[in-house]
Amino acid sequence: MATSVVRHLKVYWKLVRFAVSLELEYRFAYILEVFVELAFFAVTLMGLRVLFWNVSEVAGWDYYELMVLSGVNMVFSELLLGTSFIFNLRSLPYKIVRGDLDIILTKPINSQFAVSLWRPYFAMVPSALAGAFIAYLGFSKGGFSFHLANVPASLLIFGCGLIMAYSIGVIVTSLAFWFTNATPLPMLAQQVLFMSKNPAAVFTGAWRMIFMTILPIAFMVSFPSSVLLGDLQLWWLPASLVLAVVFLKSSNLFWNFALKKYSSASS
Amino acid sequence: MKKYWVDLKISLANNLEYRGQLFVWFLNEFVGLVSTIFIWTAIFRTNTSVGTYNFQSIISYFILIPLIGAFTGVFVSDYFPRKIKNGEISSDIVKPYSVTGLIFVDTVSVKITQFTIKVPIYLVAGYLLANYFRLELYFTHLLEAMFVCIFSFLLHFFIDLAISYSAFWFQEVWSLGLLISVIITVFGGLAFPLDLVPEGVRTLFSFLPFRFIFYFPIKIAQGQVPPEMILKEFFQMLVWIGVFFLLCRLLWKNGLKKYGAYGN
Repeated sequence: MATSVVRHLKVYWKLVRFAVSLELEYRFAYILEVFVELAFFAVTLMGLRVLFWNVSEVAGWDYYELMVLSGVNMVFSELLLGTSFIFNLRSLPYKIVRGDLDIILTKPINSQFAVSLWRPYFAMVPSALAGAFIAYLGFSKGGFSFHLANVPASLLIFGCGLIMAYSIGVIVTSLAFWFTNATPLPMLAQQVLFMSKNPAAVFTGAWRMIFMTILPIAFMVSFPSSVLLGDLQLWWLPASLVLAVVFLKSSNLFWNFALKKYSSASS
Repeated sequence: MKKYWVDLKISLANNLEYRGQLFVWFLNEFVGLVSTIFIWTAIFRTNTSVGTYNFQSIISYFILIPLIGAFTGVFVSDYFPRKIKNGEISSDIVKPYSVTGLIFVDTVSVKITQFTIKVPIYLVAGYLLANYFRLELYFTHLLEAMFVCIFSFLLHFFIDLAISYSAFWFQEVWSLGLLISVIITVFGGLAFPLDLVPEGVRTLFSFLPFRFIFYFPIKIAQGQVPPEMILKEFFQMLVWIGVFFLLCRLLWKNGLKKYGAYGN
């Protein structure tokens, strides 16, 4: 197990270096990509500003708290999209239709890894950093007191949330093995996961239970932000670890199950 | 005209082959709508009004977005810039038809497919949601909005086409489509109703053409635009359509001179 993880990490490092050289080849494209990514988040921030021109709080969160949440969300979505969606999961339905999975399946590495993490998208880096800056700005302007001890807890929940989101992305996109030319499936997965940009307090009643267990989006952005803002509930830590393991394992089981439906289209 | 009619039929057959895709796109929009409803429900738990909106009017605004989008949505910049960059339009240029005309026919065929599959689903979902949230939407206003949507579609089509044709000058093209979608999200009223912004900013927004794609038809569907204002804005929209139509012609004519037909 440990050897396999180390081997995959070594492969990933090589893939990262390869992706960097690709990006350097098309520098103008890279600048434009970064610009578009930043523009998307400028829209989110503008939406937030417009909202707070008219109201003073949303589900108990004030403007600066939501600014922290938006910043964390920006880091979260950029990492998620950049590592697994843009160049990877989004192209899975095309690979299935064209039979391009053949070459991947013959490689001596985990096929889920190869399909979902092959090429990182580097335009995410500046926008993720911009997200971190926005979170910092919200934190300092809001005058919240900083507790260093909360950082590792927040990072742990955040990391587990990323694993859960990645796993859900793999599961939803793998449905493409059953539907012909299901190119919008990765976008559907993204749309579901982007519900995590809302504070968990927005969901009430049965919805709250659903978004903490079956579709645990509350663990992705809202809880890590709450922890940074000083509201840590200890049960979040073991719960996020358990959910991350369960979802990652489920995604792998589902991937292997879905692969049985694959019949090479081109050969 | 016959050649465009044949293309329309082929394009329709292609689009209808992948009905499942349209259903997934519907689910995609529905999830986005649910997320928006959650946030606005939370906002109205502690507020009775936001700007000039009450709970019902804000929910109806966001419910109308996917319905209006089924009429006015255009996705030429998603694929056409790539065709220019890859030299794939070479075979179209030498054929005896207008490339712009062909793109228009293909886009209309997508719209027809959406009308037959998406719009009925939206109408049923919209009706159920409207009942659930006790929204007041009137058929006459919806009809007025649908008429205006024809022109909103034309405006969006020519804006998107102008962006697509700019691929003759740019090396990187896929970001162009994303860029225009960001612009329309903000200035078209997708991210938030434009009348929630302060007066000064609203004046700036009113100088731009993007509000005609979503915001203007939605406000008509909500019955919030007086008839004389509809007429005034409508003429302004026609002017913008003319401007972008001419811009497209100019870009196409000059773009062809730059075209290198790579890969051919």
